[in-house]
Amino acid sequence: MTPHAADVLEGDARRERLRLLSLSAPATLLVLIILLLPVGWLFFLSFVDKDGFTTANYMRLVQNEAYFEIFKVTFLSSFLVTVITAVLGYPLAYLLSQLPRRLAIIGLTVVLLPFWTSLLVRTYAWLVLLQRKGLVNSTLMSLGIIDEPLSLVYNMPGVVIGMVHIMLPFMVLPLYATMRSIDPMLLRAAISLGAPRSRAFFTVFAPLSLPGLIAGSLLVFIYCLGFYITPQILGGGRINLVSMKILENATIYSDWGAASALGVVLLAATLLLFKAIQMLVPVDRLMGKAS
Amino acid sequence: MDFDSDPTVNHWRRLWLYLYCLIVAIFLLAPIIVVIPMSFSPSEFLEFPPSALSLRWYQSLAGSPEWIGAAIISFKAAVLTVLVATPLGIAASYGLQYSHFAFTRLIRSALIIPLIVPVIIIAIGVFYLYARLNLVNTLLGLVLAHSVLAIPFVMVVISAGLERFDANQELVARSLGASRLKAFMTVTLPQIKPSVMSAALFAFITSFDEVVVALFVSRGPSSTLTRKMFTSLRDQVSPAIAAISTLLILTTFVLALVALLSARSDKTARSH
Amino acid sequence: MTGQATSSGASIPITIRKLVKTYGPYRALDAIDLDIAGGEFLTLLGPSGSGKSTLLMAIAGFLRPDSGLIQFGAADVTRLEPHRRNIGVVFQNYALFPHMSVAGNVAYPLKLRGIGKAETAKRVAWALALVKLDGFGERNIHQLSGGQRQRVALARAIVFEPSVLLMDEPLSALDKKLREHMQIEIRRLHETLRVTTVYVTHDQREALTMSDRIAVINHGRFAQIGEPKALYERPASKFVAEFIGDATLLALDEGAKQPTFRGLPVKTKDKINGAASYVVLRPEKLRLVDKKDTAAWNRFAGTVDDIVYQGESVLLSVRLEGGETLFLRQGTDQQSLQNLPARHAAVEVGLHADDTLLVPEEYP
Repeated sequence: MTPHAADVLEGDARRERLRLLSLSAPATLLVLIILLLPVGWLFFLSFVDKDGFTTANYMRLVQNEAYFEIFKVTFLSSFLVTVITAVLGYPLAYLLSQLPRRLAIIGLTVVLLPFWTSLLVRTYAWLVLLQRKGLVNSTLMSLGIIDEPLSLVYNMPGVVIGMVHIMLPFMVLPLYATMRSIDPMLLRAAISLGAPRSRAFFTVFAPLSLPGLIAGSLLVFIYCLGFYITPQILGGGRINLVSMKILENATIYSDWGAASALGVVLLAATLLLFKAIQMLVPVDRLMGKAS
Repeated sequence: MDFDSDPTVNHWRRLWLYLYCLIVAIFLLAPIIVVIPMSFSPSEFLEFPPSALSLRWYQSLAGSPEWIGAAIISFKAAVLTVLVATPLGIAASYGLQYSHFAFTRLIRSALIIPLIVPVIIIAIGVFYLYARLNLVNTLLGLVLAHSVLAIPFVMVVISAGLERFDANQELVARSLGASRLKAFMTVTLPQIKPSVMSAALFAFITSFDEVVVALFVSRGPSSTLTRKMFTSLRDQVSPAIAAISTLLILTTFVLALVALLSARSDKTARSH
Repeated sequence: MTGQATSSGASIPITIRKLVKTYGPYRALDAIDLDIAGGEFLTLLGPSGSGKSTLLMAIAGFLRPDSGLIQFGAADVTRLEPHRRNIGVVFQNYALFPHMSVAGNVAYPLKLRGIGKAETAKRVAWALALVKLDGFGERNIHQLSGGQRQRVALARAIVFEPSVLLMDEPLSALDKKLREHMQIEIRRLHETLRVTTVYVTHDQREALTMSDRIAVINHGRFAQIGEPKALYERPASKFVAEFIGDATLLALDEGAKQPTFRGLPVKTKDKINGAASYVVLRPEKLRLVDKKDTAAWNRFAGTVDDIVYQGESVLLSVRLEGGETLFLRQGTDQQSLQNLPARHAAVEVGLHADDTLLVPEEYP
């Protein structure tokens, strides 16, 4: 019998590869039709007016003062939430990463428990807690910290508090993963070389935890930019973010040009920030060696 | 890392850290815990702690065809999403894991995209598409959209499970006479069962808790539970929502427990 | 069983022609030709990266070659899927199915072939008895030791009477004593079943112990194929001489028409054709000689560097004036021990002309 030529066997190999790839076809097709196509369509729509091709939708975003205000509020609130989440999350992640494995798992469960609870439930809970006669105000008053109930809901403080609560797990998880992978021997080495524990922390541990902090912060920031549900409910309609304007334009005004232009801007910002995460934080450094 | 016997760790000086974390932990858990007793409040006003315990809100829910209808729709959609997203996700994960085409990275990125694009954009896109396909307010439309959102979660979980799996076993099975599919069904699948259960759970919760897409795509009589909650929250803040919330917390808790137990029993069964 | 390669039970020969497998610029298999007789135990021996596992995987069908031919008997299996080739495979990490019992594992291939429950139970019992695991059927995989797991893997691979048995370094994970025991077990199994077996290992001692023939492979090509004794006593090249058994190779003087080492002629029975480059010195063939015996011996002068007691023998290392080190063994019986030289003593190491072997640099 004659040996088989290369092209015949190559054909077999190619067919098998295609068969394997085709396993992912249904999922890919679904994502293509439901997500990629419409989003692409929207991109196209943002450049279209009743008269044809136009950049008016984008121009409006830049020129209109109302839009500027919306961008400003969205950006500032996202930034504020990110900072607060970092401040609250970093010590928590640190403590968890230093605990023995079993306790750490319990701790993580505590952090993740709200994560598993419905978004609406958590938002509602804050709505209730932050009322004028709600638990927060009544506790503060009974502790004597304040005399008059604070206005904590249907305004920016309410939105920020709610968003921080939702975002905390997103900050803690990457931080925890990074911190967990930091070799404890390094801290010990620094201490043995003469550094007091706090100094060792700031010069050794903190810099090594930076990738996790950056990843967590960017993640939180990105999510905040496009957030709709919680700010809408806790803001009582008084806080106007980009996501709300998009919804407004799409449903109430049926101004698809405006909605899609805004959407494209949001998407562009999101993609850029994700790219930033990818570049600033090589994923393996995020997970460390001990993932 | 020995917590207790590390002499450089002074637990007293760390007290501030422990207190700080305790406060943050309370911050995280309080809202969820508070909601439950509130659902038993007898009056129309939100009070904590409730002056007495009453089941009136649960009773009104039980007697409300709209709420029950919405719950059924949410449940149906979630179950269907699991049935769609899980097999599709498993097939995709398997196919991408074992094929080394140049294309695979591209496809893998494409399938992760639902996690990256902000939901609001996905929602208006879907809305726009469905308006033209007459899929608005249909269960089919909702399930398809939710499946797209769930597939990345399924893939992440299943891929992790496949990585841990000893691929040699499939090779052996094939050498012993099983086709690729048969080897997968009889050898691989039984062993990645915990991953499959987690993936199914993720898919269920993704659909069940989903609000934004439902806002656009399931209106009026075909509202999901979450959509109905959302619109009620905008209008009034009654303890009825607390009752629903408690039920939702319970559902999540039960599901997570089921997944945990099945994973645990799977492990113990194997080690006998 | 439609689409199966061959009927089970018969001793099937394997024919491989011009098998090529490349990974980019790297040739893992370089136009391999190989004939394996039906019922033969052939070992593919080579260092890591030599291509031995690649060849085995190609024979199994897990790897698609770029071109070439693989036949089992008269059937062309080159393009056949693994599950149609009727092969039994044993991996280094056993790859037992943890979600099935021992009996479940062994019964798996039988179930796939549609064999009924009663017959399956019979054959499973037969296979387990063959590997001396009678009664282990209901045990769970996790309860077994390494050696027991490997035997289950073996039972599973032969229970359906495959045409070909393929083993990829199956004993590498076991400790020395167990490994040696299993080598004998596998050999015994082979004698009983007479299945054509291709065995992959990097351990030359294992190859020498178990094989009917050894195919030494390096850089995707065969360096030499032959019976263990032939490979050991008549290596065809420097590589084989060094890879199989211990040896020191001394480079012959270049350009001389007759083989000489540092000017002195090398006496040998070997028929060389001018291509020889090295003389092979194996420790067990070397002896300390005194001035008297000259005629039939090749002699190398040097000083004793080290004397290492190794239990069943003493290893002497002798440094020649050119800096090379020769190793030779002496017995540890009382008389030999008394006659051991001291360190730094000047000695002459002798290699009888009949034992003198010359090898070329490259294999043909």
